[in-house]
Amino acid sequence: MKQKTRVGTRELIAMLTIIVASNAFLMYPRYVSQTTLEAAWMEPIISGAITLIVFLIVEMLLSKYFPYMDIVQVSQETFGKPITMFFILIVVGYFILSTASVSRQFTENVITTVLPSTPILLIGAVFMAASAYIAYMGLEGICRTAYFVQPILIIGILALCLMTANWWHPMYLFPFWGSGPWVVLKSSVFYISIFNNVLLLCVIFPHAYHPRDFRVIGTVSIVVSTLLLTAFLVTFHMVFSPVEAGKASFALYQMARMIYLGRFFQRLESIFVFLWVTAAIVKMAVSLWGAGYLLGKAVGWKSFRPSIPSISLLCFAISLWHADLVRVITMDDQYLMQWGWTVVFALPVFIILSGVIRHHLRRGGGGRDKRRNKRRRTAHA
Amino acid sequence: MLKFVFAMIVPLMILIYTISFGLWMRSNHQGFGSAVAYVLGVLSFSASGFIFWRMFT
Amino acid sequence: MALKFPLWLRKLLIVDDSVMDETFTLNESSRSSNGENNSESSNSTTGSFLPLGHKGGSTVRPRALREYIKQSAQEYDVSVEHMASYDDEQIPAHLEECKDKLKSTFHLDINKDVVVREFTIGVRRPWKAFAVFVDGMADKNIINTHILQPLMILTHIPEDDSKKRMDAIAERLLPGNQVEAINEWTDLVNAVLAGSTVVLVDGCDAALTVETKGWEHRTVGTALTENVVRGPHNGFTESFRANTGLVRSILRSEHLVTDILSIGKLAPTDIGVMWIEGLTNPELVEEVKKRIKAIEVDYLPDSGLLEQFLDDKPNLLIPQVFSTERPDRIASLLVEGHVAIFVGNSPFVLAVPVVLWTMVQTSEDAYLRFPFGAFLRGLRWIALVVALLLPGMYVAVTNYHPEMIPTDLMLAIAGSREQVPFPVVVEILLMEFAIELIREAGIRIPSVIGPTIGIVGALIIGQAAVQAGIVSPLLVIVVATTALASFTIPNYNLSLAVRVARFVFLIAGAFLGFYGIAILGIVYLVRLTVQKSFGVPLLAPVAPSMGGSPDVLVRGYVFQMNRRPDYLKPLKRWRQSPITRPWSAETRPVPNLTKSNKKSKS
Repeated sequence: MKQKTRVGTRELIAMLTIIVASNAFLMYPRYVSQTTLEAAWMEPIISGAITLIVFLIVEMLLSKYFPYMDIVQVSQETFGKPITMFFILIVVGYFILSTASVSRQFTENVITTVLPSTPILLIGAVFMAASAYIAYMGLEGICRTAYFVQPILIIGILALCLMTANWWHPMYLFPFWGSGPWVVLKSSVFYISIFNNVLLLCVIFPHAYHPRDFRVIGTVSIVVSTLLLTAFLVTFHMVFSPVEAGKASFALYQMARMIYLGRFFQRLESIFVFLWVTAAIVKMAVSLWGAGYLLGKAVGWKSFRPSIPSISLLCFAISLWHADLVRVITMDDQYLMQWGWTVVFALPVFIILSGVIRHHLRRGGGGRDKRRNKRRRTAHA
Repeated sequence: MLKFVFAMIVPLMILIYTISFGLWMRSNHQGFGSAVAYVLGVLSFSASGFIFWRMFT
Repeated sequence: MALKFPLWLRKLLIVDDSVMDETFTLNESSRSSNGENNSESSNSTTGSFLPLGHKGGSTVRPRALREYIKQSAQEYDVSVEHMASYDDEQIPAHLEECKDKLKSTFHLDINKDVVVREFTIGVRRPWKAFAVFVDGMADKNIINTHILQPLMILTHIPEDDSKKRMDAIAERLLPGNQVEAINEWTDLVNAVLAGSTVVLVDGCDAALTVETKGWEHRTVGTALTENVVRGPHNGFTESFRANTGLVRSILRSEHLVTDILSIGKLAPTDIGVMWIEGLTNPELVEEVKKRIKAIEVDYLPDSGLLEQFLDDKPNLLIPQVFSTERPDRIASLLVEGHVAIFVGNSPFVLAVPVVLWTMVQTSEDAYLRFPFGAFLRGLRWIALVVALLLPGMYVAVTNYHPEMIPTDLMLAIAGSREQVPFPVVVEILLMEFAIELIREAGIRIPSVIGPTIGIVGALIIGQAAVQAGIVSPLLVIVVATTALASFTIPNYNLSLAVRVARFVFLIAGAFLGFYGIAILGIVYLVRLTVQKSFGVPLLAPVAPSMGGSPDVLVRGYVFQMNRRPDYLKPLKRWRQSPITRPWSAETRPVPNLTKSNKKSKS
């Protein structure tokens, strides 16, 4: 491969924040409202806290035992190539499916909100082509663009929260615990896969300008996106009753429709198109890039770029697999969302922990591995 | 049917592109890599073919 | 008796030889077809620049592209070689030989521009000599009073040794300010073509060039394309030396260096590469020189062409080389660590690398006090967005998102469009076309009737189109605002880019509304983020975020702008001390830190 891409700290933070916070425009508010009713806003906080803890552990282990290595290299050292290939195929599959699902949801959003009479094929194709183009430009392009989109996203979400202030009903937030603390906790763990930064961070690790900033990158992006999601959910639940919220297929649109600041500023949902289309494209481009990059790493392609058109076509086809949206949502909820944590959390943690255990076993057995690690360290120094 | 053929132009181009990617990898002596590229190309082509067939016929 | 028909009537009625007349058609020259045969003899004598392998009208067989390019490059090299057939030749000692050589080099038998003035030096022991110069390029007064007069009338050469004769003339007899002895024939030719006068004396195998440049050019006037209210008003002009001098007069530093390269095989153009030694990144200077040296052309008339040769990505709308007419702009860019490129007698000087933000700034932003500079810059950014997006947004809103307009306004728009038979896109394209016509015509129209036509175009077309019901009045406002906004972009290349990109956004808005505009916007943004100009990302220092002084969308206080932009990787990071106002507690970066404190610490 050509000269390794290097991405700055701020750009990485922006990118990771966007891919998590953009869940506010997807089905996430609907799912959490359905399961935990009034306490939906607690879910991102709990999920975020768990993510933060997991991330800090993973980061500590990575920097202590596997400096300057990404998860593929760790897995290859621990399990050998064939098993790594299997793991990577799972992750690539997850990325492809989630891209397809996100693409379908956003396409439907576009149709319901702004372009009701345009064929879905055209809208979806434009969406996918744009994401593929950005993914093709590489991580550098994605992260730099994310850095531009980030302020729009943050200001947009906060503005949306504040502009609906005249519809707030704080009483909608009670009873405080919604459908019960236990349900809230369980659901938070289930839907933790929205925080797929841990997985991405493990992949992107060697691309950071300053790997030392890694803890900062992860922490800031998790905290900021948690705050944005929570703020959005609190407002959403103050404006709509939990039952209504559980039926909304596009929370942001529902909220934006409510804006009424006098006769001149009203019905601003179209303006928010810029906000969520840009965020969605960044999100999709990241997962497309992730799929291509990991696949390339696993099978030893010199460059992953030529595979991007094919992968995005595959995503596009999968996104249109089910003709009706309801089935797409059900599938997304039942499989990707509720079981995503196995890929996003369990897998990287499992790989790294196995690596650490193997590392310890080896060190007990002989100094070969140690020497190798040392050599690697000096090579990177 | 005509719509289907039109719609398949882009997937076909992507297929050709991916196969030439596979050939390029083969010329670099990466048999496995090129095989994966072929599989990917055929998979995406047939998936999109299935979707478009269902849509337009 | 000859009837006096008018000519046109005679042509209708009478047939004569004139029916056989043919107008001139340009054919392959006979010289080129037999060029192959007598090329050796003709090249050495006349300096013809026909390539050896050139065959007129030969059959064309299909060839591989690689081979074709290789062959063409070879052909070009051969033709260039033959153009300068006198390469590496010395100046002959005998005057007659010199004359013959001059004759063949400058085609003196058909070329009347080059003047050869023969004379004898001294009165008592006369030596034959002559002066060569190009009429119109050399200053005749200097030639008369500083070359011919002292040599012909006032002196004699005491030196008998022909070798030392030149030195004696240069040292004692020629009072020109720049006199140089040369030995190579190439130098002689270049000196004559650059406006100098060359003096040759019998028996010397060297010549003296006397600097007599004196062609007519525009004097330094106001900058025509980048006006400011506050700040210097002069702009570059059509003189290489005047331009470099203008920058030097502002930036008086011994570290400011100019390296002069020359491009052009048929007619060389001077390229001045200017930078500050010890400050500008040497790698950047090397890259600039490398790219310039790689250019092999017959002739390079203007900096606009050099810019196109230097571009990183020629098909990108956004320019990747900065061009300006203002010496103060170039001076400040040089101090930041850029490299400036002067091209021959072009009144536009280039600076590389460039980032997008620089192109929306003017020098006035810096000269004005902070609030006003920041305000103007902010205003210009808003104008840029308006110029780029307003027509597209208007189409998108009226076509796809009418609900977001307040009902009263919506009714007003609908009412104004009631009589208009076209869809909004057609309407706006018509108006944009009219505006583009006015802009283009405004430049081409002879200046005498310019203002009149401008008023005619703007008022009559707008007013009449509205009254005729072809466009709605609101749309005229939209288009006029767009045009006005696009005039605020200070960089001409960037404003052209916005002008063109506007139509793309218009089409995106017409097809897919805000969705299309958002998608196109982000795709273009990504394209820009990965684009580089001479190794510097076009959107630096924002993405990738880099250090430096606050000087992007809004400029900071002048006492905060302490560091040079990091993206230029200059050898010196700081351009001013962090404490420039030690007497002011309010603006000190750290309380209780004064300059004396800092010094005592270090």
